[in-house]
Amino acid sequence: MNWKKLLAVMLLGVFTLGFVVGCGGSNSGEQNGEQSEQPAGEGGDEPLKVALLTEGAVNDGGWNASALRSLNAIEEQFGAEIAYTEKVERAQMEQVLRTYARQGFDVIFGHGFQFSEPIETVAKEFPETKFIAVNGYVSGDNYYSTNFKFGELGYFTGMTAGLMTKSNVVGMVAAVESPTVTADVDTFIQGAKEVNPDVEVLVSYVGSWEDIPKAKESAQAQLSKNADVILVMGNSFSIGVFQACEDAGAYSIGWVDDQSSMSDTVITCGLQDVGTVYLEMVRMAKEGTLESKVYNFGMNDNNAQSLSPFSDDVPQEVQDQVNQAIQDYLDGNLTLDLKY
Amino acid sequence: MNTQFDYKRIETGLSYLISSLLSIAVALIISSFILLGQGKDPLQAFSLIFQGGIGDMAAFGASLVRACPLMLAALGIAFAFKAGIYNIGAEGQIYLGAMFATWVGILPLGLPKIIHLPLAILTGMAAGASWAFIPAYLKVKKGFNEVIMTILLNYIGVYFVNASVHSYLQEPNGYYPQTSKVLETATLPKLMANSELHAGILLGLIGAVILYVILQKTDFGYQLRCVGSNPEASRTSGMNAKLTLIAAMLVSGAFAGLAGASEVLGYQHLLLENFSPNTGYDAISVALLGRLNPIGVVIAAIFIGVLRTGANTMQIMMGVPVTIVYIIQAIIILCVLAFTNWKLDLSRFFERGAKDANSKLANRS
Repeated sequence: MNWKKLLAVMLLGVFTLGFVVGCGGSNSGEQNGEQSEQPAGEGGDEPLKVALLTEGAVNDGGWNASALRSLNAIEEQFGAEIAYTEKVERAQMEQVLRTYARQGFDVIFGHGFQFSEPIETVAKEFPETKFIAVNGYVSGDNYYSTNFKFGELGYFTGMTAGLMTKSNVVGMVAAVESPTVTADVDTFIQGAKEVNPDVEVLVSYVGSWEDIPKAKESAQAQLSKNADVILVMGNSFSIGVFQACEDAGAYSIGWVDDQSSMSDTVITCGLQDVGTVYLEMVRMAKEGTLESKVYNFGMNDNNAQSLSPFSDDVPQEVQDQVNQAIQDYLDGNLTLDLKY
Repeated sequence: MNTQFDYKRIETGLSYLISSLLSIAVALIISSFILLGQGKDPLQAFSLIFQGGIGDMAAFGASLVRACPLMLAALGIAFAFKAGIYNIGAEGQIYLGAMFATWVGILPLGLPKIIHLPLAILTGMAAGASWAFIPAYLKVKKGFNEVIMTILLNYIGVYFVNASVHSYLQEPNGYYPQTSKVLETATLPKLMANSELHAGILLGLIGAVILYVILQKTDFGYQLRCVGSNPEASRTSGMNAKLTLIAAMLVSGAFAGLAGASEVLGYQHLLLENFSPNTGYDAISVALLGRLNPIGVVIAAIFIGVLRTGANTMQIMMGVPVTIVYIIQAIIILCVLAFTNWKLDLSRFFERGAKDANSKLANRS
């Protein structure tokens, strides 16, 4: 018995070794072929190579999904060769950035402020490659950051909410209490008070960008305090707020994407078009006109930020008033107290 | 006697080698099917993992950076497991260690590096140890279950650190939820240019040697292993099992704290929310993979580091979805775990050999 078992084990061992050795042998050939192929392909027409790194999953239906959409738009518009890596933890960022840079990618995006430090470290090692931190804060010879003009959308959605409320209580369900978020919270309150001095604004922070049940609870708490318009300043958890508003018969305002298809309660949405940011940055990178600075994209920059069309529930005079204010702002006749 | 001892060593060594090779082979075969299902060439994928993990010094450096926190935390976990106390709380201990090390690291104390850096590291270790002391004390004094305690404390620790990054530890201009950068005087030196490899890995190696010596060569180590294998017997034979458990847990927490401290002081240089997700849990599999032996843990941590870094490269070069990469990593780890615990029948073979040798010896005399 033992001998048979031993024989079996030995045989397996031999197979294993054979497999491993065989693997190693054929691999090296494979790899050489791969490497010699790549430069040849590049020499042909040299397409722009653009890579993207996200910290979360690209199918989150929100922030990271918008990055992938933008990347696909870049592929379409510029005929670029694209690649991306999702779920990059902080501890892998440098290594992933380096790997892309070594692969000869021309432009590498890090989708989130967390990529700022890693980009600053790695960019210096690859002067030929352009690195862009979206919502980041670093800049240098070959690395740049982009930001939205946070606060713009808060003001105009705040106006809309202030004009639409009948109970004079409006709510905001925001994700986390970070400066990029509070900038819009502050202007939302300003905008609402501007058109309706009696309005009371309730603000709750969910503490996460994804927690749908908690977002719904926060919305319900605000609705129980008579709020009848709620701005949801997250993205993935919007649906929870919409459900709460549907149950209570209140209005809601969406964020980042046009979410009017998700619920009838949505009267408008504050749109942040990451796609415009990506396309603009790639265009400038291609033309070689990027300056080492933090770019701010707002309503005046190719509609990087805008309000989505109002729903039929919004009376014409409210629409006109908000649109007029937006026009004044675009024309420079209205100045907002923006931190960005 | 001597020959028998040698057989024993060859037997364990050989059985470990064969089972490791077997496990890797099985893992590669299973993963191949998944990759084929994705329409990717498995051979190319594996060679890319290899290249990306240990292809050149830069890649190996990156692998060691990944391995460093896993190694340090797993050393602590293995130490506690040896004593029979299941510390699942490395995650929280890592976070607290990192937080306190950062806190000392950003204080403008005006101290020279030779004082500031050890001070930051020791604070981190102390923080980890104190966090581990809570479940240890409650287990020993009140009989609480340490597994549940440590898991729950993880949540408290992680969220406490995340909340701190949003409030009092936030950088002065307060734009982003992160701390200021750690001062130059509190950073661990880099070991290699154009890579993140820092001296933390040396701390890991030194720590492994120290723990090995403690476990194998000291009275305390012997006591600890006894308590781990049979606490009642150890107690009745006059050992202080309670004190041993607490000590083991403190050491364990200190190592987890060190893992967090070295990650911030050596690599990330500032503290973010979720700066190192799941490291504490991954370290448990590293500890088990290393068979709770300090030297084994070092090897296992480097193995996982290479696997992770190499898998990243494979993902980038071949466009495999990251989830597939995670599945492959998990299969490899599972196979290694399964096979290292699978006792080969080789032992009987060698025992028979040894018996023959013994009987021959006996006959001769």
